[in-house]
Amino acid sequence: MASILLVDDVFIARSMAERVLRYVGGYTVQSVGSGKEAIEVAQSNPPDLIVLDISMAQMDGITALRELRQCGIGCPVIAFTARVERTPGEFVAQGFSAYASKTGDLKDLLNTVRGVLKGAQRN
Amino acid sequence: MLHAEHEDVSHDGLIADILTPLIVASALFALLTLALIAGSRSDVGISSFIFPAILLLNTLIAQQAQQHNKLFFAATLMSYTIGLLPIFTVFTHSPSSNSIMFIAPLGVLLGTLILPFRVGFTIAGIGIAMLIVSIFMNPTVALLSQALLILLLLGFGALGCWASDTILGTIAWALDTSAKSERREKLLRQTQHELQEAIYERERLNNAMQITNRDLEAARAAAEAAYQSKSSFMARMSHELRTPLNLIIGFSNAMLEHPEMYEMQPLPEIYQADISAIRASGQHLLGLINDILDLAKVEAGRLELHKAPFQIEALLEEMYKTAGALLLNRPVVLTRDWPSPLPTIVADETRIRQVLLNLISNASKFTDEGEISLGARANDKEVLIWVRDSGIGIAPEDQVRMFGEFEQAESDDSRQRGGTGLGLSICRWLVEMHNGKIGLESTPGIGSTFFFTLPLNAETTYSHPTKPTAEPVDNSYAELHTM
Repeated sequence: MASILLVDDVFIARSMAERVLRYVGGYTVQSVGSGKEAIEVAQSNPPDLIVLDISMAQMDGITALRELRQCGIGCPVIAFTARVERTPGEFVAQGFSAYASKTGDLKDLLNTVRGVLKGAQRN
Repeated sequence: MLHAEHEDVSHDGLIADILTPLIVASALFALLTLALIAGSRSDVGISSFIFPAILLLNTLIAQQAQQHNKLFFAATLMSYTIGLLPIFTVFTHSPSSNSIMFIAPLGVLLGTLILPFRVGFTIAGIGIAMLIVSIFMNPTVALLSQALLILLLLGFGALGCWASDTILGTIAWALDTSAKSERREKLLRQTQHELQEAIYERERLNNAMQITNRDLEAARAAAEAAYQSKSSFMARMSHELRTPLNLIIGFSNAMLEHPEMYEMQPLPEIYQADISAIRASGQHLLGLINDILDLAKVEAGRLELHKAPFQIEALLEEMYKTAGALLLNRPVVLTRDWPSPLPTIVADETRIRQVLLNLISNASKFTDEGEISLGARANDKEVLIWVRDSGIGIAPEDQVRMFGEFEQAESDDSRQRGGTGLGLSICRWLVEMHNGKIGLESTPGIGSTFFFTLPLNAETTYSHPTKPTAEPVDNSYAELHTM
């Protein structure tokens, strides 16, 4: 089963998404609360996919993605955000594989993860 | 009129100009003669004083008359005095000092020159008559000088007649010219003064305007800053609000739909209705916050359209299905009315979907039974899309306010049915950003039709308005519908 690294600085949000991915999606999930930790974990235990929150207080998701890439982590990364005013295209242009909305629609996250993993397998 | 007046003035001016030196000269002459007579040792009779005394007296009278502006009288008096007094003096008294008579022609000349000719000739006539009488009465008088004086009187009279036109004309012209140039100069000075005043006034106004402009600019900048900060505050705030709200909805979803997350223990049935209510309330609140965020973005000028060509027909099909789902299990008939094919339009599909969804959801909210119809028409310039319902309708006084922020129809009924009052305002913004028009037609109790147009030509650019336009759209639906 694919392993997912979930990055979100809000504990409750992280725990909800973690449980959805683990229990509903059936993935192996590691979760961390900051971009910094994400880099550490991804380097020591490379995941198949990263779900990255965009609006984090310390290091935002876009910066985190850039640093992850600089550290040689090349797995697909999904932008996970409640900022509905941003278009999926904007995130893809910044190097994300896809975008999942944090609107409480749990199926959207699951479908996006599934789709990205399937695409990655094909490649 | 002006010309005549002007000539009078110059003629009076001429008389006055001649009178003044004449009066001075004759007064001096009279005084001098008096002094000479009084000073002479020779035995002089009282009669010798008559000529200078009368001359002085008449001169003083003439001077007074002139001062009282009786110029004609003064001139006549002076003419008679100069013309007749010398002859009279010689005639009545000493013929020995008859050289004084030769002043008389000057009076005739004066009379003909500046007064009507008859005055001069009357003086000349009287003078000649007196001379002739004196010749007969006193044969000792030198005939030659008498005859010469008669000739002189006539000659000066004629000279005066001949010259008056030329001289008067010339003098009048000269005076007129001088007066004119004086007036012109005065006018010029006045104009110059006025011009200077005007320049000062303009400078003063300019300064005032600059100050006002500066104040205005400062006020505008302050308002703009307040507006921007309000909008960005709203944008950030609504994001902060949505984060926990998304969790409320998310956990409600998890509890209702994903028992996997709870060790496969399904939510006890007794909780399900309440958790559903939590989810529905959360979703409603989220809708509100999204609307507010949209509005904040529009007002801050940060809402960008992602225009691309898309099939309006496909969107209508999708919306028709959505409407069907909304009206499920309700006694409302859903109908469709658009020709196929409809043109492809260049617009932000997501935003147009948002507008349509809003109109459809409004229609379903306010229509308990009857019909809801989704329709469209197109011509070569634009496409018209409408949502018609047989719902409660909107009172005419409410119709004009429908597209303003936080506006809803005033009835309790519409309050009960919920909604933020922001939806139509956002629809209006979005349609207007596409250079389209939005409007409504409604009859209370019969139903409402909300419609909007989108231009097919995407080249038209949208300039962001700083303030929402307040007036309602005046294009009637009926008018648009004929296309």
